Amino acid sequence: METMSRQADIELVQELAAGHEGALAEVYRRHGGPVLGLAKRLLRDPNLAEEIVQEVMLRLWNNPEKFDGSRGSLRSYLLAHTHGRSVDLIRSESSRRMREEREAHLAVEAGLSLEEEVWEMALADHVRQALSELDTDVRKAIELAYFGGYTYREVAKLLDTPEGTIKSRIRSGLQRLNGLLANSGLAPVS
Amino acid sequence: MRVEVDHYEVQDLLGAYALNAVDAAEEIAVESHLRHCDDCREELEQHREVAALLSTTETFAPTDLWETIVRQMPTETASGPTNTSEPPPIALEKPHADVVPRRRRWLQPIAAAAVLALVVGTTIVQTARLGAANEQLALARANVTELTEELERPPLNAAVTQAMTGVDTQRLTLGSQVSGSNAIIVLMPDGTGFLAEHTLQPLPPDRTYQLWAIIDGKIISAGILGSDPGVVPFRIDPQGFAGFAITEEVAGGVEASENDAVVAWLEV
Ligand SMILES: [Zn+2]
Repeated sequence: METMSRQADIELVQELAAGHEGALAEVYRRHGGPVLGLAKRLLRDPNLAEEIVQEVMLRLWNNPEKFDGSRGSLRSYLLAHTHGRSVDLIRSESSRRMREEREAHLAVEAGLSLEEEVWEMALADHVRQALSELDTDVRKAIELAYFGGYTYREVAKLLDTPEGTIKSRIRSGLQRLNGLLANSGLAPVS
Repeated sequence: MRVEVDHYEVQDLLGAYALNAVDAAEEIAVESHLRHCDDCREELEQHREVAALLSTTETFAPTDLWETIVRQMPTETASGPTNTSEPPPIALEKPHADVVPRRRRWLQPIAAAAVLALVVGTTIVQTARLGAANEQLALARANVTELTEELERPPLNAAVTQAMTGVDTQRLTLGSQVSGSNAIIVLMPDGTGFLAEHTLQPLPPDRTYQLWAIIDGKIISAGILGSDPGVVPFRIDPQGFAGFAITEEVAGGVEASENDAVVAWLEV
């Protein structure tokens, strides 16, 4: 199943590289929703989020060779790019307004609000299940970094925990999630 | 610019790196290491797949957004979901491109004129910034010249000795596991620094070593060192630097380096 969809990704990108617009349309149909969802979650601004989606899709169209199907799925490639660009925007000095809004969110997010938001997100059941099996401290660190767009140093400040601890919680948490999800047949086993 | 760091230090950072949760200097360090470490690359890919599973199952992707994308695709299309009776698209013109400049991620927080960007792997130097960058470069050169003149009256080596024995002086060793070369820089609290000692190979006269500082997430040219540097003074903002690197460039130096760091020191 994993291999099949990986193969489908590769073929899709090959078609797209050959200039078939329909292939990009298919990529958008398959992955556009989650890509937009992630950008919106991070940026809290639908217009900026749409710009990120445009950029991510157009980059794939213009530089299809940057996607290496042997390295990972198209979904994770697009989401990693989306996450990176959204975080760029959050951290760029030009978006002071956004930063101020973020700061206002800080206190709230460190509390329950982010957890609730994540809970309300349309996560797959087994992903939600896996997340709930993590230690609370570990889950919080991952959620703040991934959905909040904070650096691990910022997360450390927010949670009043040493930086090194947060760094290793994020890593071990992702490894644990991989193990939990691998049981449900979804994550790649290393 | 690519620099080396320890495998275990990088491993430690891989989770945070996969979630884009590291700072600029760490990002450089990780990316440099990933180029030659399969284990770390594999682990990173795995983290990214897991992160991707955390994304929503929402499948709705709005049609009007797709139409906006199609209008920007730089191609003549006769098929696809777009309305072909529309006027031809303005190729490559992106709305609000200024808001989301396409650049290396770790170059993002760069303040316009203050910085000379080192671009990894690609040659994207924003032309609009070149003017300012050139000015900065000239400034960096002038700074070095002026400092050299200023310091050569009392012999430079004496100044270095004084600097190196000073209580508040920092001594940083830029190294490389590949070449085995190293370079020692000393930094005084006021931001004056020296390339004090090094084992860098002399270069042909049309080449030069160039020093870069990573300060507050920005990559700044700290000086053109010359093809066979002796003791070279430079000046940086002493607050919050996170790394130094030396690259080899064409004589005169560059605004943005595409070369591997010859030696580097990173605060990881
Ligand atoms: Zn490694």
